[in-house]
Amino acid sequence: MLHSTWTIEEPIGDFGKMSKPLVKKYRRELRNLLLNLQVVLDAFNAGASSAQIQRGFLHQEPHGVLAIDQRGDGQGLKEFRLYIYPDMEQQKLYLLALGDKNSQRSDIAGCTRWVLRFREQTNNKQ
Amino acid sequence: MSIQKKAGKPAMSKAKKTGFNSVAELAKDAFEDEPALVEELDAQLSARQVVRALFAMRSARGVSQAEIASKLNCSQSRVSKIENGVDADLSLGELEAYARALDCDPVLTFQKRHSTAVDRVKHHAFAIRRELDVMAKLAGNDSTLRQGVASFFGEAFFNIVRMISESVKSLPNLSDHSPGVRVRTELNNEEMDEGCVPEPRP
Repeated sequence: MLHSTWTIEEPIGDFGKMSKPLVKKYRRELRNLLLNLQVVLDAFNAGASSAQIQRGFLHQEPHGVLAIDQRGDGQGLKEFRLYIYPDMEQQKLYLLALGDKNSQRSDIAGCTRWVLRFREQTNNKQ
Repeated sequence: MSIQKKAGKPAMSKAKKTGFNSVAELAKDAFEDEPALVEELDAQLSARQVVRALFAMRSARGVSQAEIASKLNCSQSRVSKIENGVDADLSLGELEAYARALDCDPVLTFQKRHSTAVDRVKHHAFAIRRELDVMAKLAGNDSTLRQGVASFFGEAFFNIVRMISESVKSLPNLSDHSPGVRVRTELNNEEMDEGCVPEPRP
């Protein structure tokens, strides 16, 4: 089943620090976000493209950014989004941001800035 | 609440590690002081290995849930339930039917509990050896087949060596500059030694 070996990267900072506010208070949400992240990683490893990965918890954002939400086991969960960017060429999944509904707009804006800079740097290297 | 860090500047070089192959690895690193969380996550990930694999294969093949449902003779919501559920809720019949719908045969493997990565590599190495032997036997005395098999063996040898050398590259550099990998051959392993692959005739 496994076609390739994608890796999860932390270009912005340590995921542990990024998710610290969720560890105690929103543990179920954090667990679901991570379980959903593994589902996405498995699909990339099997050779799927971003567009082919269709799940209720996965949202397509501008510039190829994907947002994973907390859907999964448990009721009354607070809404969170884990923003990732898949680099199809290098087979790397970049963890960009983690936020809730209130910070959604600024999170997406930040991710967009990162992706544009990343693409610029990648193009310059080539 | 915003938990986002400054995302304005890509800083790939500042990443603490080069990468994690799984969420379990990431969690182990990120939540060192939260062993209960890591354990819980490991258990949840293990409980969903098969259903995750099914979804991953379906995605990669661009097959819809509706198509799977029609082949399984069930509703689309049942397919959704399978993919969102845990392995324990999946019957062997459903597993086989789902795999067949993706033009796959499910292969069941039993291995020792808590097997190590070394155990698993050995397991696959012996499986490769068995398959190569099957090919060699199939070639028999047919010179065209023998040539084809010999050519494939050469290709396989090259690819396996390349694969291992790529893994060697991912080993961290040692500070004392001692060699990271030592190559040695073991001829005392009965299973690896038994029989020889016949050399192809010119």
